[in-house]
Amino acid sequence: MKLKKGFVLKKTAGRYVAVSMGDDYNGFMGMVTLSGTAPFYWELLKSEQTLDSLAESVTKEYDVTKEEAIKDLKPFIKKLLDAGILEE
Amino acid sequence: MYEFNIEIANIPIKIFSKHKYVYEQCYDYLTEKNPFFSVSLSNEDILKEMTIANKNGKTDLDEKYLESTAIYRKICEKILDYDAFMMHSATVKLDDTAIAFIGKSGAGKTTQSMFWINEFGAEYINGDKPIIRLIDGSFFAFGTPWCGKERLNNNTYAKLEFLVQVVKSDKNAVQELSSYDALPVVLKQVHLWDDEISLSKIMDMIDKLIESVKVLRLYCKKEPISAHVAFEKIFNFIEEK
Repeated sequence: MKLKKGFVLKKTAGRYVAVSMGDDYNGFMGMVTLSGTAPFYWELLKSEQTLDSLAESVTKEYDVTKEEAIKDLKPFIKKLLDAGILEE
Repeated sequence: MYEFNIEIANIPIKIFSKHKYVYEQCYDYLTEKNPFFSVSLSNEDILKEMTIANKNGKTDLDEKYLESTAIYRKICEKILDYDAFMMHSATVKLDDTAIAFIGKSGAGKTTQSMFWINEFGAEYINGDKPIIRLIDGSFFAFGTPWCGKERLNNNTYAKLEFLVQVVKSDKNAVQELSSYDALPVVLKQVHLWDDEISLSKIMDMIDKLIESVKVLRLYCKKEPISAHVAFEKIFNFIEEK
């Protein structure tokens, strides 16, 4: 899975939001609020990843087990998939 | 070819236009000042504008109108470099305070802004597309020649202190929105550019805007009393300062 083109992650008004580029008040598709680990995951998902490869990267960066990493990743990935930001 | 300079939001701009329409539209904003940048259109720009107009169901496809909106579109992108952006809103000025009414199409922004003109003697800054600029740490709302069909604008400005989201309702009530709830509302009123640099600039400004103004949600029936409900809340905030 990988990020679709045309989405940007920005910290705005205290939280991480993903928005669609080229949106305006005539066609606003909405923004998605993401957790504090978002920038790290977002950067990884700019290239092709699997849940496993993501979890691997997380365990290298943070002091967590692979199971803990997967537990945190799953809702994040679901949110991006539901919003149409991620291609499987 | 018409070549003229205008000043909007304290930014002097040189415009090149094929039609006289946009020159006449900008009459109140003409200036002799040296421009910071210039705007001219290619055929491609006009075609792009036509595509956008079609997408929005607009049938006013006379080239002079397309030229005008295409010019404003280019201006709105370039002004990002000067800490300014366009925000879709009906914005009025009362004493030295600007209040921007935002919300969905048909929610009653223009109606609400007109109540403020009639009930409290407010003045229009721009009834549709004002420019908001960050100057010395504060946001100001400026009139521009691009202001919707009703031509509601004045070449004036005021410090932007309140954003009021207008929501059609069967009651009149006002609540303050947290920055968390305000963000999606405000994002709907601006253009999220399709290049990362411009998008980044506008998101940074929205970030600052939300921290520096009060965002209110006004549930209202389309009647003047709703303006009084909003006014009272805003007046209390001003008094508290």
